[in-house]
Amino acid sequence: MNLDSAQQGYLAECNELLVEMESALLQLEDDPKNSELINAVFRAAHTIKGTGGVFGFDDVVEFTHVVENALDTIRSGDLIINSELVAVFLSLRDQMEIVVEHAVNGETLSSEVKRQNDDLLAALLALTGGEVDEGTQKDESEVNNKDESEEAGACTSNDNWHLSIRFSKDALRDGMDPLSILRYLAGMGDLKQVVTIFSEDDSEELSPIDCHIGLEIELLSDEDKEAIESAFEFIKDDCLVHILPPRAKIKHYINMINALPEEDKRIGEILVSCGALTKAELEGVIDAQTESSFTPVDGDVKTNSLKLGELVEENGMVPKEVVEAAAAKQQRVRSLNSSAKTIRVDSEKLDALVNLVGEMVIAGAGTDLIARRLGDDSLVESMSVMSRLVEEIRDSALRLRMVQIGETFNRFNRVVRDVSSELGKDIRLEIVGAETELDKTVVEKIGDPLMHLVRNAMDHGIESAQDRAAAGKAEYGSLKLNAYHDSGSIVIEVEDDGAGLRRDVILAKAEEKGIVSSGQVLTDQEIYRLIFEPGFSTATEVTNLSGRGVGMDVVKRNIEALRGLVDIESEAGVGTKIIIRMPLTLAIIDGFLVGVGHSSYVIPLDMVFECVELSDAERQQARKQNYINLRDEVLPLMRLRENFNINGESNGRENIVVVQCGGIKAGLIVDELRGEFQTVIKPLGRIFQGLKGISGSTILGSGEVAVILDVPGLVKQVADAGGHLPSAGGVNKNESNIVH
Amino acid sequence: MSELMVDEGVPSRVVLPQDGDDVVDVTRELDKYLTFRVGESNFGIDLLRIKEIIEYASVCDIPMVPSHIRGVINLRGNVVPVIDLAQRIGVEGDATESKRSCIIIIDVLVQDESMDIGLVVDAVNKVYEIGEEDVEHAPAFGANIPTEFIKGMGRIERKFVVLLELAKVLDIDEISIQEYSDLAEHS
Amino acid sequence: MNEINNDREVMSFEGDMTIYTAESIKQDLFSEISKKKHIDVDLSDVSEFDTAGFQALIFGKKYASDSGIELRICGASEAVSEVFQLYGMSDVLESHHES
Repeated sequence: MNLDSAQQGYLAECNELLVEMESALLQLEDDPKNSELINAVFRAAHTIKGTGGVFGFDDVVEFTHVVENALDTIRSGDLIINSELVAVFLSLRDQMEIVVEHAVNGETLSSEVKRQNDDLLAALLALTGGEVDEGTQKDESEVNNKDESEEAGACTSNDNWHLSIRFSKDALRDGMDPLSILRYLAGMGDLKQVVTIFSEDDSEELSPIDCHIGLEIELLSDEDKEAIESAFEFIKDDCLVHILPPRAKIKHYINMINALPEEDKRIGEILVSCGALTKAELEGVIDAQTESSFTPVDGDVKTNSLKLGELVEENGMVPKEVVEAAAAKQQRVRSLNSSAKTIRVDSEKLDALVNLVGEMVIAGAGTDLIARRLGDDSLVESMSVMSRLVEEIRDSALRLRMVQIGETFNRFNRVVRDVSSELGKDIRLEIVGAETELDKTVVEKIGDPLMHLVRNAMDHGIESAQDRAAAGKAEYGSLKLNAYHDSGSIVIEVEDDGAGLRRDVILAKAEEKGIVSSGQVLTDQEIYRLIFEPGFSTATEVTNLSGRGVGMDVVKRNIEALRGLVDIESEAGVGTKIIIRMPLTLAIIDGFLVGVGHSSYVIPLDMVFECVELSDAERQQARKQNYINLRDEVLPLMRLRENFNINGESNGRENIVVVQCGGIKAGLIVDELRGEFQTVIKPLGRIFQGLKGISGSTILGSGEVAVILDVPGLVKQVADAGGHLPSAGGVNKNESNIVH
Repeated sequence: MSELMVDEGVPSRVVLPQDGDDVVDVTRELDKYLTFRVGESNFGIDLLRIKEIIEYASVCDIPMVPSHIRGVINLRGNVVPVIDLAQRIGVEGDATESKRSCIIIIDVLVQDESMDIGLVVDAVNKVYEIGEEDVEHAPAFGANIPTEFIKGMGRIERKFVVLLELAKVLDIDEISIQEYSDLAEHS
Repeated sequence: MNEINNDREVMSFEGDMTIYTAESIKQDLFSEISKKKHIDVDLSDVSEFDTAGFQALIFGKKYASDSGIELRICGASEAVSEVFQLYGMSDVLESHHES
């Protein structure tokens, strides 16, 4: 039972690692030398293998081992990653997922999976030069990067292994004493030189039971790399370990220096002092780093290494590689810091908190109501302080669940990559606003609709290369995912630079399918929106990806179910943009309470534009026309009493709540305005799913239930009616509704 | 305080044993039925399916719903849909709610998720133990409700009550509001 | 544990200097350092010595030198010597042994 949950934990961890691996691989395609990314990929494979070994998942270990070795070749700089390798690693990643899943479920690999394993590994070996096992690191026939300067390709004269270790803070507490590693290494050969590096932080602040030690070791040993690595088997995941073989290349040292947390010049000095590098070699390192343009003057090594930084500063020119390495290092330090400041919380606990806060909001509203009724000023005042605090707590609680949309967006790097190769189109994805935050529940649900839109844009939106050339466009198509906040909503755009929608084709299709009657006059916008109608698909050729006619209407329905809106903009020859507008959270909204008859209704406050009281004359007019003239603007109206078939006479006064949504205004006629109100959304559940015009419910302070109006749905209904409101909207379903 | 408001023997809330309560002898409970009245007829449902019974009060109307849906209620912070049982099974209920009207809360499992649904009845009678031998098949004809809603006929003191087939009465697909395309309505 | 010898403090540690005691050893060292000008630390009777103990000592030494105070290690057991040797820091012990 326990083991079972441990294995499930392993599966979850693997999935997380595989996601990281994928994203790192995709970034590597553009930034093949980024050692951070390479390390991330390596770490993922290594951890999956290591933990898999603990569980005795031999299939996982066997498969991942080969992958890990190949990655190690790349990590040590012997092989430069290219898009071909990325493609293979991505497939290997997918295969790892399958293999891990089999292992956790206790299934043996089918011959099919085994064959896939072999094929993929063969493909990998073909690219990595046939053998990826130990020893290749020293192989002279490795693939050399053309960009590397000759100096960087040269070997050092050091006959020792150079080991560099930075321990994790928790190492001692985890029972991993650096001494045991030193003793182990001492048993493998001769510890020629050990330099212990201490943290430079204030010693008063440091705890001796945290590990603040780094080691630079010169080891003379006949053992091979694997044997030496075995000393670090248990600490590798948490600690920074570099193992450089005897006579390692200068560029390996460069990579290592870049990866170490200390300043480059300090490391340079240490490497010289422990005999890893000679002073001349250190100069070589500096030369390589500075692209040979700042060869230091002859002299003392220490001055030279010190001059590295100074020279660069004095000249006011900083070589690109150094900047990049430094930036990457800062990034890592930052991410280390941020990970220390982040805690993982079970999302169920968060949900429970948000629910409780929701209850508190309701209870607060109830108390507020009583305080007002009692008319005790000091009570009302103290209640208003309470309310403000409750509001703040609500906001903070909701913010806890906010996540950046970036992770969701990043998934599409892979999708775009795979789909574009499937379609034979060159399509590039641009991501804007990845840091935009929204509620976790929204993020979880937006993935599928986005997936469909992205695939659709790639399949139907972006033209083939020939067509693009003919149209005088860039050879590659562009797809842009953009997210930003706009007045209490999050807007997500999927934009392509394809051919745009073909107005006539859509119209013809819609007429053919009976979605619109021929002769109906529609604006371009209305025609474009037809693609969201059920059963609509213009693809003349049904492809693998889309075109089955179940696409856009499902997307639209899913988004509307989340209280969202979809709209579309398109220009022939220029491209198409799908705009999704979603609420930031699905849990709580600010509402505006209105009364019709005996019932209360809640309108989301961010959609209320203004409230207008009707004069008698206007009421007469409104009765006839279903629209009024509001400051020289035609405002279509919807009478909730009629639309919802609410019995009971109105008290004579009527108010219009002007709502605005997606740029369209409409007036909702209600009896009474009851003011603003914080509203915890209670979903109405399965039974009411098909109900139009209502998006949920809420519990008022009095304990009564009130219905939340689906303003986008109502506005659409008004807009569709074009000012000629069907007075029978929905009434046929409602004849015998009893109202007490 | 709340007890003072209760009258005519209908407690404001009756909590009944549920599955999971270790004191319940399931084999015995299996035979128990709660009987209640809707209009002129009496019906029974499995006691084990009932979560609680509450007084009929402040049901919130939901506009534009079919007649078998009465609305929703606030059940301790949860919004629970309420079904008009008379409308659902097609019998005539009392014209207005009385103090005896009750909402029976039933736990329904929908796609592995449990949800509460309320059933409006005109009066709750009592709990009977009806052994298997006293339950007969639904008659092919002659019942005043469609046979698909009938689980069996339970004999109580030489009279029969209709035992309702809750799986059918509360078939979520049937009681849910069907989606309709408003475009279809316009064309 | 502490012996007073003029303005010179000799702090002797015995038994374990390990992860279990390192925190309090560091506290002891630091509080002595703020009181005295010269401190000799005698580790001759330390039976167990690990990295945590080693760090406590090194932090004390660094803190002392930052505050202009002399901290010397005047005796070391075998366990202590082995650790200093492994960390490539035997010179810290030896130079003070002689004086």
